[in-house]
Amino acid sequence: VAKDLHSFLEEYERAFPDEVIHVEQEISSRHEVTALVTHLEKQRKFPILIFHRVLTPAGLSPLPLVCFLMSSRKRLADLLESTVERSGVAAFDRLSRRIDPVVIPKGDAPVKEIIEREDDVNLRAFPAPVHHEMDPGPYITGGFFTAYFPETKIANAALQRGWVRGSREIRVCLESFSHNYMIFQQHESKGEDTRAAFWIGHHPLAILGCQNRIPTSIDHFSVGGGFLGEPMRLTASESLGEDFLVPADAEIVIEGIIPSGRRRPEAPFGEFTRYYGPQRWNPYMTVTAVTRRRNALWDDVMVGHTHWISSLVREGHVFQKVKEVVPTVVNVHVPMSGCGVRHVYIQIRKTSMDQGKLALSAALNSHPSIKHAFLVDEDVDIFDEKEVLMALANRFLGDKDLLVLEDRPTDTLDPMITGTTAAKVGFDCTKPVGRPFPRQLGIPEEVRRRVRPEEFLDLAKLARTTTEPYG
Amino acid sequence: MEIIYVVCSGCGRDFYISPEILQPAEGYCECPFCHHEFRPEPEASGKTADTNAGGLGGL
Repeated sequence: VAKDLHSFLEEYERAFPDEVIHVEQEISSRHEVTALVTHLEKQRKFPILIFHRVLTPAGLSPLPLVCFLMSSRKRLADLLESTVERSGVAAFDRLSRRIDPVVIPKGDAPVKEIIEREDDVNLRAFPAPVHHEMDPGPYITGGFFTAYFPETKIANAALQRGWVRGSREIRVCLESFSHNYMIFQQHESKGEDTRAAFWIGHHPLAILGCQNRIPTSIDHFSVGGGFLGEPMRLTASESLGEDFLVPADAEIVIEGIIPSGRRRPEAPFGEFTRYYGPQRWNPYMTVTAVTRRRNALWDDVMVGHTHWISSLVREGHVFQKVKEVVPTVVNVHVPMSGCGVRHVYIQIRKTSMDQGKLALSAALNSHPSIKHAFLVDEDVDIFDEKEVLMALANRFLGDKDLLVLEDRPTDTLDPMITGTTAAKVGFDCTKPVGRPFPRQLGIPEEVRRRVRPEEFLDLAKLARTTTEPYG
Repeated sequence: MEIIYVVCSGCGRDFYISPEILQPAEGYCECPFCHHEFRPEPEASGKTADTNAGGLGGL
């Protein structure tokens, strides 16, 4: 059996029945799903949510909606056969394992169980949520926009947002630095339309693999296969030609044409920054066919909320870059407090003073969107932000330990910038090397282990005492 | 992120656009709330964001 979203969910629910929640009550795709997700996020709970009765403007959707698939770090760590702390490095390691995809006949492809063409297509029936208040409508957020480079025929796939604007129209955000935009431009410069497809829903490891930004000479499906540990199965499209291949084990494939030389307003849209990006002039797709499984699931990525799709691999990437200059790097974390990209915490075993700025510089330059890097010693838990800030309080001097890199290229979604560059800042919060440094408070480890609260306190009463969120 | 706040001439609610959206002669914006399509005039635009004090007049 090929690995796909269905096989994953069956296996996962069998192993962790409490980690999959089926919601049978009717829920509106307009803001209500996001409201529920926000409540859970506040409680730091990230079960897979499957909504079976999603109300859309077109009525009750025939498809269930899946949320939070990629939001549990523990879940992804298990899939990567790693730990929560080391899963970033483990994810990055899989980038180099490539397995070429295989092509199967259309008749064997689960995603071809239902085929709708042109005017039979009604995208509004799908349970794509209207995520936030200023979003103009339902958005595809868990869809891989896929196109092929015209010269090399190499596949490019990236998670790109698509506003379901009409029953057959999707307005697509193709960032100017994206490889999909490059493909679109190559066609447009010759006055040609671009063939493209969104595919939605797959095994979480295929998602983790395919979403990586990789050189244009590498097929995204081979990276997806490397993450999965088996070839991704592809099959020919229904309306874009036999040479346009799509994942046979996806839940849904939406095929279409991006007209050359045409733009329409797209967004505002609530982005990963937790702010809305502005309305922009973007291309759009005219849908030519939709193919799907009979029991297809619509996978939604809650953009602007916790998920680890890009952050995990980024941790591993930063780790690698820092290791090139400071071999004693211990671990790296890209926390959600930096929207999963802006902040990076680096833990090193520091042996010389110059390692601080070397490590910070390597981390800050490793990705345009990383804005602040915090370097800490091995005894600081980089998964506990209070400990990181405590290191900033006690092991950092602004006139000696600060690194400012001015005017560095960044992404344009940073609410603070008006151009295309931003300052990057590094904080060396490690103890100085080569001079005595005070000792932190502590108690003998033997005493800490011996004094057990249940031997001294009424635990039932303790549970009733107020939990203070402060301090 | 350079933005310009505009007020929908249909429903009166405000939202924001990227300046480049109105650079082409045929450029227009679409209200995310009521889907009214319009080309805001500088005097009809709403508050401007702190990050873009020039507003539509600066286009």
